[in-house]
Amino acid sequence: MAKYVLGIESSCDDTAVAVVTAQGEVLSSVIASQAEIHSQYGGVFPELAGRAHVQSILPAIDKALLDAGITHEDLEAIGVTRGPGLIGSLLVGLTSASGLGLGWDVPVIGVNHLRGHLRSADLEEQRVKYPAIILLVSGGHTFLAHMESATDIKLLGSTRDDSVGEAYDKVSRMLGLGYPGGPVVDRAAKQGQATIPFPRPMLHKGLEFSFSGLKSAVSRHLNALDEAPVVNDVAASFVEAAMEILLTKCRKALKKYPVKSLVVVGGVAASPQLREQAGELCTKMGVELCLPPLRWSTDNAAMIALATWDYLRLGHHPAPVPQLQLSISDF
Amino acid sequence: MSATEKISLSIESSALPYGVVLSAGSEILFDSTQHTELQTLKDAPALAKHAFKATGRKASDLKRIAINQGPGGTSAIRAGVAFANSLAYSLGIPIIAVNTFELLGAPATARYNCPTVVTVKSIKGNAYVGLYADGAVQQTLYGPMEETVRKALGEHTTWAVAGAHREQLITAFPEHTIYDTGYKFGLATDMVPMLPNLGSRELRFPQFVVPITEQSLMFKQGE
Ligand SMILES: [Zn+2]
Repeated sequence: MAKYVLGIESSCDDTAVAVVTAQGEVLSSVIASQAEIHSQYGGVFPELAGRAHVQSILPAIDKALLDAGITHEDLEAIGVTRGPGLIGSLLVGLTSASGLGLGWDVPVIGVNHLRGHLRSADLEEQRVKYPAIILLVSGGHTFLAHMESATDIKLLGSTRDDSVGEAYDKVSRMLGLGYPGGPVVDRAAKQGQATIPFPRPMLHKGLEFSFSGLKSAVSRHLNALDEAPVVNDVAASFVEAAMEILLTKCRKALKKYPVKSLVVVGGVAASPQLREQAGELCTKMGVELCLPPLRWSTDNAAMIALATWDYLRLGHHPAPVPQLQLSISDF
Repeated sequence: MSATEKISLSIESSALPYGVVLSAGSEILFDSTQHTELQTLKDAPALAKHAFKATGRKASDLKRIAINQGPGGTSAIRAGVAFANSLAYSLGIPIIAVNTFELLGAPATARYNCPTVVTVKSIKGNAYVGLYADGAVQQTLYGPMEETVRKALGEHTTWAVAGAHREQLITAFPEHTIYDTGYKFGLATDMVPMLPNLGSRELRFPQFVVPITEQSLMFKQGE
């Protein structure tokens, strides 16, 4: 009899629930987005996020089971994000999962959100050729990891301050382009010239990232202007700097570790500039570029469910209690 | 266990540590606040598991769940409500929301035989204020604490006080006759006698409980 994992993800501003098989087949994936609630604040407003999760989680759970055409009796386990994330948001997902587990008598596993991202590229089909270098670029995270296999993961470097997605959002706000910042800043950049020499913080320092200096440089540049900025040129200059940082680190990692593929996931993986430049880099380095569908790259519950199968296989059963500090090598 | 025995799980979630009570009819089978070793536990799921273990009951024995939907500590209530909602959903049983005003007001009014003012702290000197009288919550308001209590009281000059600002209110209304209930937080055990009268408030999925906070409709109406 086929068995399924119910995945629940509520670490930030979206409530997501999915049903996934051990092979990564996604039977259902429901995402209740709060983008509309948060757009007026130019970012995620934690107090509202927690409240919205309470209202959307049960309908999302019900719909995920219905869409998958299964009942709780078909569940092997429930996997729920235990961190990192916003505590108020995490708690809603964790306690909801605990309630289901208690009522249905199904084990509940607290999953490391970052492990979900790392496994996202293998949803629906086995895409990643291991060993692989994986770049996660989103509003919440920016890091590079080495994956010897699906479960043998080593962190190579992460951001010391802002994520690249945060930098996009903040620059977008400075330029009056709206939230979320990624698509609008990329679009503006396409129409501009990278005429401003913004800094590339930590460019030559190992595999770690830093984006707050770049963001501040954009702010200083705008404040020093006597006239209205050429928005497209500022965007183009910012994107060029951000891409150079990301791609330089990828090249370094690929040079240092002989791998079969480079995997790029996270919301910023939607950036046409990043997709294009990563493609050029991979051709040059002779590795395969793996760009999974964006719906699995941004926060979703299917990736949490797929990661849950790893926990089950290895016998790791962390309790569904919040843990705000987690590294990608942590189970 | 008799066939008519209604096993209920009641959760007081407005402040930590949570109070989790398992009852059969009017009989209390388990009260987490009576177990000192459980006072450090901060999650309702763990307390509920203790309740089942200690009494030899199972979650599937439950016939209904009662939960305090607030107002009170926002994240504690949210986590408690989310747990209660999903447990009720998973078992296909009804859930009943009780609010902090009736939870403190009902026992106080029964004891002092007069209206009860219940206040809950909020941010910036504001408070949630409820007036409980004649077996029901009569007023729910939100605003600057003393001013809002005055508004909620109307003509009443003899009343009992429960909640966060008891001493402050006794000092602020020297011309009134005020009984200090000593009740600071609600008790899950006080939910048990309320349940038989709350049948009409049973919710079943797709309905579920939503926490009471400043943004809720309840307080928009009071503003
Ligand atoms: Zn994420």
